[in-house]
Amino acid sequence: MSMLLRSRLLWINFAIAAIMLGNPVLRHVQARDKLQSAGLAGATTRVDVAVDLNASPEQFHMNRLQTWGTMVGAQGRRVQLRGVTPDNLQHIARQSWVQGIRRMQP
Amino acid sequence: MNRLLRAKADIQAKRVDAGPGTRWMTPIWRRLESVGGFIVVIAVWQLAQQASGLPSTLFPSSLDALHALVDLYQVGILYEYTLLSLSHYLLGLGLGAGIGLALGLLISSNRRVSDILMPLVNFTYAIVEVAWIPLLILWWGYSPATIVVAVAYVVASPLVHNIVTGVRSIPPVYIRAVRALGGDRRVVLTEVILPAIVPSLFNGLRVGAGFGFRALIFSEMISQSEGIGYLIFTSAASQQTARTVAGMIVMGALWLFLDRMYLRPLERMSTYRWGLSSEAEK
Amino acid sequence: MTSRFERAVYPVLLGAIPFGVIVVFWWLAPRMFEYPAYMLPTTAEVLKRLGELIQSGELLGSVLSSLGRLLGAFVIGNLIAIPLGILLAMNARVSRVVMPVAIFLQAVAGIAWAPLAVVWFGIGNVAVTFLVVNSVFFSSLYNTISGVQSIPLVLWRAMRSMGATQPTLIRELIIPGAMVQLLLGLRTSMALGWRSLVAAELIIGTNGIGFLMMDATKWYGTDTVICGIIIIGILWLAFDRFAFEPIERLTVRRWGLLSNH
Repeated sequence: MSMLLRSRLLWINFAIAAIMLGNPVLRHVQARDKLQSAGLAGATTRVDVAVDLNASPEQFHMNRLQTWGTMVGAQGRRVQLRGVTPDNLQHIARQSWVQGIRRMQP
Repeated sequence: MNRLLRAKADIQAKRVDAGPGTRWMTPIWRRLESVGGFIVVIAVWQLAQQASGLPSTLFPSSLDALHALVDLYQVGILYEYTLLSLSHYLLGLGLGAGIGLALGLLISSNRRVSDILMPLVNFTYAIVEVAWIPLLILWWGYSPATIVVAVAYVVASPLVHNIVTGVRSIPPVYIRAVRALGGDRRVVLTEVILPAIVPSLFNGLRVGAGFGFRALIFSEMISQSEGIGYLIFTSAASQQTARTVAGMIVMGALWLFLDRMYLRPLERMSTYRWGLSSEAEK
Repeated sequence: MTSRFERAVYPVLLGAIPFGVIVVFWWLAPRMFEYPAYMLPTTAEVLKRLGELIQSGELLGSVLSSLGRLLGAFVIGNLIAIPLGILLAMNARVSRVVMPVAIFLQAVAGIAWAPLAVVWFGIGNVAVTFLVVNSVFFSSLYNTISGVQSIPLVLWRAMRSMGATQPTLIRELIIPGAMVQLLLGLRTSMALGWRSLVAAELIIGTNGIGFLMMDATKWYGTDTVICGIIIIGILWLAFDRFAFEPIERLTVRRWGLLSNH
């Protein structure tokens, strides 16, 4: 009886651990793709970017984006940020709700 | 066909309880029954909302809530807020369990000490945990720290109470017997006290975890720190009532998952191992 | 060797020691540690505030409105939940279908409904009472169904085979059989209701003890908050001593269903 219990518990925990460890890895890979397609992969200085979200930006998104750059405008699903450091670029690209990043046309 | 025959044999051999007033049922029906209630509720809920004609912002229907759930997932809020809530909860749980255990054992280590402190323990236990929140806000402000401290206190409280009362109810004969056979304090602890209090210890932990989860949601609402409670609160404030209900569903599912997956087996294991029965089996 | 007087007084004195120690620490603390005055008022300040609250009638008013709400909600919640629970649990299939839902609703009951309550009723007494009824109802419902479910199968079959009708079943089997669980459920629902009451008053109340305390945090009135905490503790102890223990003693223990603990 306890064997049965243990196995189901084990499998579910295994699944959870897999998800929790796999998710960041997946997002890291996706982030790399996003940045590469925008030509921002090797950025070393601050850049101005336009971030495309997969939905209209909400308070939740704004709170986070504001910590990664200075927000200068938002139209529809696109948010423009100024002065984003390469580190923060990584953070932005890793979010599941960021569909793409582009260099902002001045 | 074989499955049905086996099921019938199981029931007749009393391996499965058939329940009063029933003929015989297959385990398949059993599974359906557990889910059936939810399906009925979802359906009735949806119909009720449509029949009432109230707007979705006042009375969100079940489908509205499910839409909101999917939406929250896609936007990324669901995952992040759940993670935040869980991390605060587990932190508070660990802190509370540790402090509760240490404090409980400390207080009950000496009979005289526990006699003296007992009224204080009882009085503190009588103070509803939420009553400390205003004080915590005065001390730690509106921040995640308040949440963690609140959860820790809520977890520690029943734990300390259970440990102290548990140790006090050990017949002194046992301790004297072990001492007479030459056991020192450590032996008394491991051979007499710990086995005796393990059931009430785990029970206290489970009770504390339950109240702690509610305290988590509540303090998130008050301290405005991001998490499921925060989601429930702010969605209602911004007229996104479907999200509020979605948040409540997530909260319920989260707690049930934690309880059934970890806490209940833990409590069962503790009573099973020592062959004792605890009345709080749920 | 110890006189009766000593035996009576000694435990009380012993019991007062921890409180005495706390008061001493409380008095010493500002002299030993540096902290802003609002964080921990002195015992004198708290007692003074307590006196003020009693004199102005604020304390009594708050306590009465809180307790009134609690009792009303407790009665309403249980009055609906217990018969409903019994009804649902009488049919085995229905109770099996309902049970998971009851468990889930129990997990969500209470304070999570607060924002919804505000959307429906606005801030104030109605929302607070609704929240308490909510807590009491769902926890009672779950406990009742669980209690009826725990009646041994054999007894059901025995009574049914003797041709018992529904009312007889309820009177002779369910109520005595589930009595222990029902009474425990009453106590649990009271405890949960009390918690929900204070919690609700803290965030969506306009009067009552919880509101008194939360209001005080806005102007750093720590002494009021501490008064509130003490009052809440006393109230629950009084409840336990004067309400639950006697009831338990008169019913469940007398019928030998619960061992003396």
